Amino acid sequence: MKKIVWSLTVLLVLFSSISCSSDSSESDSRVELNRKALLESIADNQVIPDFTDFSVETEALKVAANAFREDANENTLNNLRAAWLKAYKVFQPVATYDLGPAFDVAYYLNLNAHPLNVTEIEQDINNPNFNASDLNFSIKQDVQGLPAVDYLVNGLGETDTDILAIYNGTEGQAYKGFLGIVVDRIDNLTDSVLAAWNGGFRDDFVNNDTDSRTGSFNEFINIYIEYFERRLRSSKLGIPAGQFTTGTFPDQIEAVFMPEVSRELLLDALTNSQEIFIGSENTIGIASALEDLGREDIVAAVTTAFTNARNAINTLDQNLKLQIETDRQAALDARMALQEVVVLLKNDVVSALSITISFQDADGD
Amino acid sequence: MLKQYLYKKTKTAPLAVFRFLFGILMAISIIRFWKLGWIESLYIQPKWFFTYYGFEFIKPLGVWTYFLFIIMFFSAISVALGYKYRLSIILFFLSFTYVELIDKTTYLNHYYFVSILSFLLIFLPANASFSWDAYKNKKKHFTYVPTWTIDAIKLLIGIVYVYAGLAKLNSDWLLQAQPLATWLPIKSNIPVIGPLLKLHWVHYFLSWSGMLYDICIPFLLLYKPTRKLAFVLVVIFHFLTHILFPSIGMFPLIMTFAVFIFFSAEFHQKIITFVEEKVLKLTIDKKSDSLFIYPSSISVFIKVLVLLFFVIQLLLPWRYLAYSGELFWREEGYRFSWRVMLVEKVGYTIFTIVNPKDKTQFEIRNEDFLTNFQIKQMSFQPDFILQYAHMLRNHYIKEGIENPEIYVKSYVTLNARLSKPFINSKVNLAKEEDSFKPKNWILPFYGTIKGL
Repeated sequence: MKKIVWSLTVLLVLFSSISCSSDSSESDSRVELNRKALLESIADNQVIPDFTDFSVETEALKVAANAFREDANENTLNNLRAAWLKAYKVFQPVATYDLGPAFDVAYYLNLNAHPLNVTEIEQDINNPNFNASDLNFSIKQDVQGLPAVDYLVNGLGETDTDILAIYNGTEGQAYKGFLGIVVDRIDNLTDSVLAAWNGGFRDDFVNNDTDSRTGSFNEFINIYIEYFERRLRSSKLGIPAGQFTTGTFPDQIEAVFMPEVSRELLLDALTNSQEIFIGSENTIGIASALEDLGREDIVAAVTTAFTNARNAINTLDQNLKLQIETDRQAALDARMALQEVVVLLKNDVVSALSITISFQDADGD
Repeated sequence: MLKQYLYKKTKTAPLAVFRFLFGILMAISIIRFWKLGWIESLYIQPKWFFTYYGFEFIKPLGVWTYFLFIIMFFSAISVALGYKYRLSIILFFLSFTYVELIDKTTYLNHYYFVSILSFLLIFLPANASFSWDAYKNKKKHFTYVPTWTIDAIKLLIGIVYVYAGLAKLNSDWLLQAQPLATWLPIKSNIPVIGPLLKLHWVHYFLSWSGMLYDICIPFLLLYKPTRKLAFVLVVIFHFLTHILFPSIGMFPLIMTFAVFIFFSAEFHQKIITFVEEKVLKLTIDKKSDSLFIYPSSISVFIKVLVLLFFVIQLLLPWRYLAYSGELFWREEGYRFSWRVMLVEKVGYTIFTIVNPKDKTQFEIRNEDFLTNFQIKQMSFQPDFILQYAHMLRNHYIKEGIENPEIYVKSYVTLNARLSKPFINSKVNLAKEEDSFKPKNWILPFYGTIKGL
């Protein structure tokens, strides 16, 4: 009997060596997935530099806002507006990194919850008992951040003259005060997140390189995909174009008080998402992990889908609000093109990298 | 010959030890399930549940689910002790199976195994010794039971293994080493064996040896000279699956202990004697050689029932042959067939509601109705997709849309093939009936998988 057992074992080994020799050469006989290098690149070449860049802009925004509060004129208003727009553009990359210290302070929602609640922000501006610390409450997320600055620099009147009239009028101090509170908070939150990354969190992030659902790799892919699906695809375009509704909500776009920049912000966000996926000269993308696993087909498909999405968005008016109001279908079509990216990310990328996408916990078989 | 076989008798011990281990492991599993918060997240939090076809009368119980788990726990303990065994095992079977039937989202082959095993145990004299019942009432103590009552459990375990092995006889598993080649490289952080998991030949080795293990192990366990080696293999195999796929939970432990049944009666008797003499300090009349006999009024009934049970078990996994098209893609006849770990399948499925009156339409946020786990399971299984479409139809009729039309955009990736459209997006699923008939709104599979 022992002979039978041994021959079975030998047969097993034989089988496996035959079956592998049929399709393996020296070079592809193993797959190497270097999660640590990828995490290091994400931390050192993307997250930290992007937050550093953005913190420069939030500082500049604060300076411009203070100059404007000191003397509200055409010139300081234009400077403030330029600083806000620059900050909004540089914010797009960091919007993705809503994990760790950013997640702990609800960073994204405090900086970019749109649509802004105009009724409530007006109440708060004109409430003499309003404190800067009141913005810490989660119910106040939709009266602050970059959408609030948008309202305060673009939304108070039709023309600059109208806007300046408010700041130089009887309620001017209230508006100036609120502007100061909002830009301070943007700057403080950004500095705190950056400080955490520059402190211990960078090492925590990079060293947590296991394949478990709490590992950084799994977590980063999760927040990356969630950002792309919910915030880029839906919040910036899909929901305003009415993807979940029979009607449209053009006023829910980003930068609604200066809507001619809304497409540009969307494209900036798309560029960054694409770079996180594909990588660049000095960054390693998620694609490299897929290539390590021999899944160049997925990388090619996602790259094509990104290009198609960009082309579809480029056919839209630079003013997404106007686009949705005049030709909703084109906006929905562009959103469908973004959807193609989502499908590949949520199906093929997640499957190939064995990512646990749902945080629901249960046994499998 | 059959008659002779049915009258053959064996020592009770293996059945008693099996009963004890089964009860204990079930009790531990229930505590684990409770502690992980799964009663809440799987049976109380969801708004909608996916019932099994034909079991629509099974309703979720809300917080009363905890009550059901309490019954399940105490009946498992009673089974282990052999206290009011018949009643306990019936209660266990009913409560466990009821919970399983609430939502097929949680379907797992090993839950199904526990369900049918506990059904089988109802009819076996597993309390004939080493049990509260037998200690209390000498009349209920038997040294011998019909051999078939022990063989029945071996047969069931054998079916599970062999069918799981046969299911692996397909080109994806054997020639592409999928899905293991997808799952293993990513686990290269595991100590010691981690680096091996990146090697292609390891994927093939594990695929082939897994298949051979499944098909051969029941026979190696049955044959005395190979039994010890077989048990070593069982331990290695299940330990490996536990290390590689921690998410399979208690299953490796349950299977490892279940195969004890293949060991000799003497082996089990030693365990029992040890426990009785050294732990329980009982004095048992060893000379008794009483044989358990089913009351003549139900004897035939029970034998026919058990026979029928196994006929069903042997035939059910083949029902997929009645359908054309790729089984792994269409999943018509996939469940209850011991198809374990065969596919890495992920889907993305979006529903659009169209109001036929004014042709307005909108997309559904699946998160509004389903939990993440339900969304995941729904997105690649056609029967879920149809059931969800019907739940949405009924919901929007209540919301005031007359005859809402429901269309689906669905993409699925299967075993390292790029995502492809899964469901015909032009078919109004609100009008499609759920049945065992082929679902012609599933789009054809774009690849080939050869084999059983």
